[in-house]
Amino acid sequence: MSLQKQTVVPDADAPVATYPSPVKEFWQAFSQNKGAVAGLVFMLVVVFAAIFAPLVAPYSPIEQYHDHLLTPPAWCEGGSRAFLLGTDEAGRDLLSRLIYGARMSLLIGLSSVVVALIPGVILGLLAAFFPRMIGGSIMRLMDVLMALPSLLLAVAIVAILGPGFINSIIAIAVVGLPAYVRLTRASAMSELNRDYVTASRVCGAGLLRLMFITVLPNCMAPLIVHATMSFSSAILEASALGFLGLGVQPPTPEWGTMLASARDYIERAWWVVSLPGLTILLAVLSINLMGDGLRDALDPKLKRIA
Amino acid sequence: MSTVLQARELARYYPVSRGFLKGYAQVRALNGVSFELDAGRTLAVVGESGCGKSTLARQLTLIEPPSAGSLILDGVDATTASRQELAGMRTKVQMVFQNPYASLNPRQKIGDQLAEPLVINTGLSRPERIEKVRAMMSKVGLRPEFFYRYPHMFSGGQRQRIAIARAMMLNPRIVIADEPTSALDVSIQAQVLNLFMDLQEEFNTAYVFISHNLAVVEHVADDVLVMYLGRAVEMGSKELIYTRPLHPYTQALLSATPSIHASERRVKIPIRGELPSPMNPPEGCAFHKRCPHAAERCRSEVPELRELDGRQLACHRAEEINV
Amino acid sequence: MNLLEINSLSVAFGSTEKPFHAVDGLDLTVRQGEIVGIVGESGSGKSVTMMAMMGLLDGQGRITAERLQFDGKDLLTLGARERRRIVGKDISMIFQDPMTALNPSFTVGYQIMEVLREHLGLKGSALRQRALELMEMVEIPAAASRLDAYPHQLSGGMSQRVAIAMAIACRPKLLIADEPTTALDVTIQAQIMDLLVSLQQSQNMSLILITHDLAVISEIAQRVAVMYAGQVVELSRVPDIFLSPAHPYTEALLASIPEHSKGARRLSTLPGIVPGHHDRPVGCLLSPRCPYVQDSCRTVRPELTTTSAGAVRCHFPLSGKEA
Repeated sequence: MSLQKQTVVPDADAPVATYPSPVKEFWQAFSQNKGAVAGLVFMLVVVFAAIFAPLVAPYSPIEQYHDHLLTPPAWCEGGSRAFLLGTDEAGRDLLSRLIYGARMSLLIGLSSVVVALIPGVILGLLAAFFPRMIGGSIMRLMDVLMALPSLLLAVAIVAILGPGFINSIIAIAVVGLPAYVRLTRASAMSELNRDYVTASRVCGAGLLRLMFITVLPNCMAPLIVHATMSFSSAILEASALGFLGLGVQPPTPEWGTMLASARDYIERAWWVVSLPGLTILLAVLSINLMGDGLRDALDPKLKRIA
Repeated sequence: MSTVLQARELARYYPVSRGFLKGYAQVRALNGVSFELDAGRTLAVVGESGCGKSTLARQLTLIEPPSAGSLILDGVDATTASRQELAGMRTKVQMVFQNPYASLNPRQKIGDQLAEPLVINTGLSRPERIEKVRAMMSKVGLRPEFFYRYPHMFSGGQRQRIAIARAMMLNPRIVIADEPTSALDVSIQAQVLNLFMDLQEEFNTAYVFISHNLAVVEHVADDVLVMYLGRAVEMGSKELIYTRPLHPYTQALLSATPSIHASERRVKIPIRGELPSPMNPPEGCAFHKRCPHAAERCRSEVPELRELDGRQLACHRAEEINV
Repeated sequence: MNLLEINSLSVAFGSTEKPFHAVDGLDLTVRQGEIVGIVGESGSGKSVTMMAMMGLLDGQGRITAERLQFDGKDLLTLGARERRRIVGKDISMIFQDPMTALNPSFTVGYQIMEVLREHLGLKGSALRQRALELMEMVEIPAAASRLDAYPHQLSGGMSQRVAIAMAIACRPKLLIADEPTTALDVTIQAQIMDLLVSLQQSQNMSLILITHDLAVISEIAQRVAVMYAGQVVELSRVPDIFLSPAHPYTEALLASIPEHSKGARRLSTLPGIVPGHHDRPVGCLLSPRCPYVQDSCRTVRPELTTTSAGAVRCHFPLSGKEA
């Protein structure tokens, strides 16, 4: 039924094609996905703004303008051109805070994903390759981690390690770890039974080669999707920790904390809540779009014959 | 002629859980199989699914150690070999799998997959490897531009060519082929079988050809080993087995194989029932429940493999029923 | 009397500007109580034809035909609902892989009874009685206890028997068997084929047997349609078609079976593969691979022309007895 199955074979005398470099090949596949490119552009803008925040931002993020408490954005009634996106309850410029906040939020999101992903993948592969002894104990440990409510666990970890930026990243990563382990283990287990893994074994491939060169690339698709999704939850969890006074401390600008601390003003000043929320939404959306594009671009099955 | 592969009473048991807190039972997937294989010859292993063919392949390719018996590969005993010796032996035996859609890594380019055995087992530089891969690709009839393609771009027949090329990369002494053509169309099957024959002629490779298709086996094999429930029931030269099968199971298999030419068709021997479970093998001869000639002795006593009429045979009543 | 009449059936996939014809102008008739074989390699359109006829393509493919008549009813003009009433009752189908054709979550008895309830409106003890009868008809041992078995508790052969029981539950006039024994062992294949033929005779059904195994067809079918790239290239009686094939493709297909070249080291093959949907030649679809190709073959696509034995789609049909 599927038309994909019918492989096309060009004429025998077709000229030998030349092949683009892997980078070019990747970009070709990636750029076909319009959503992914849009996501990439948005993220590039955000990253640029974050890196050059002192140059881009109109004000200091912690400077309080006591004459301009809760000024609406410029386009609203009562808004001022001086504060494009308005000010918050302490009279700080929202735009500047969002720009500076990007530094912290992106760092938290990215590092907690990486810190969870790498050990998660390694543990998952170990659990799949040695299902009896190591696998059993790894999976039981992960079950225990999953059984605890995630926020409670994070709070407990931070309480043990002490509050702070790095410790909250570790806490968020530990909470996210079981999902990566389970995902990796499940897809590695199903790949392990396939003949190409046996073929590699017959060729004498060692354990590391089997794990990381043969099996892992075939397990990437669900991992990429999950990693991009957990980026957003990491930002939100970091804000929850901040709210409890265990994560990033005010007045350091950070999207999640901004959102949390502005809850009291929802009825009076919508922008104080909505704008950080919208920023998080857009960032998460573009990362998810990029993740989809990345997954497709890395999947050789979706590529046409070069 | 030199013997490259010798199996002596090769056996493999798997533990199977009988249920919670009930301990493990042993399944005798392979129950004492012996044979010898000379360079450049083809031994066909025939039997139905569950007869232990694939378990045998896993022992021969050194993926799993046998539970009992010995396996001598090119003069070295695999069951007592050191790690280093084993690593060297792995290059001498390679495998071609049944399903060409599963036996190639979907995320690796063809060129990289073919080079993998060289990366692992030799110290060749990258240009030397590419050179060797290209030479092998042209030998099995793959065009050079396929080097940079991914497996999903190929049809089943081409994939099987790639798999064969990968198996031949290290110039092995023995190739184990596990139903290499059963997933292919007839006309493609013919192309792949021809490739096997050509490569054997060129490299003097010994094949262990596992198949349930007796027409294919008749074409490729020099010797035939018929297996039933983990044991050899009949083994001998192809001519003997095909012209005058003596074991009732071999006879049934041959008669069940359909044939195009009415003149070639054998008298149908109806055999009832299905292969018994290896978890719970019957007493006596494993085949007695389906055998049209079963007698009292067959139900109680396991027949040993013995020499009869130029072949090895495991049947109590072979003389009586083949008059 | 013709039970099924198909005249120039085409199934197109893809865009309307650049359609891909999976089936291209197919003609086929099946008489009451006849066994017709359809042979072809994968991608030749065998299964798509049957799916199109049964209305199971779900709008993916565009179906056109001059005539598509079953049992005096025009299937083309029938609404989805009426067609469904025929499909499953008067026409039914069994598939290649019995393990996936049965729903793993329900007992086989439930699945058989569901068919009976749906199409015949049986209830209560009559329902169970009939299900038991069906299980006995397909020669399942200990049928009463097997009614409550789940599919995973049955072997492949048993599951295929259950699938057959479901297919014949409503006494269909036409049974379509799509590679019914490809996934099974030889001895089980022989059992299932015997069962199908005996059921076909006792129920006076027509049977369409789709397979790539020419030997199976030669043993049981009365007529054969050979398909290549979506077209019927030859339609003829058994055994004539196997003795003197008229189309070069049929000849090549027969020649590539190992049985045909007994004693030869190499099998004769047809070079190349079935054309895909981008590279179909202008003229005869076989022209790039045909050993007898003439200039006109490359430019003019031949029509299916009637011959004494059947029909053939070739400008220069073979007449000799080469095969």
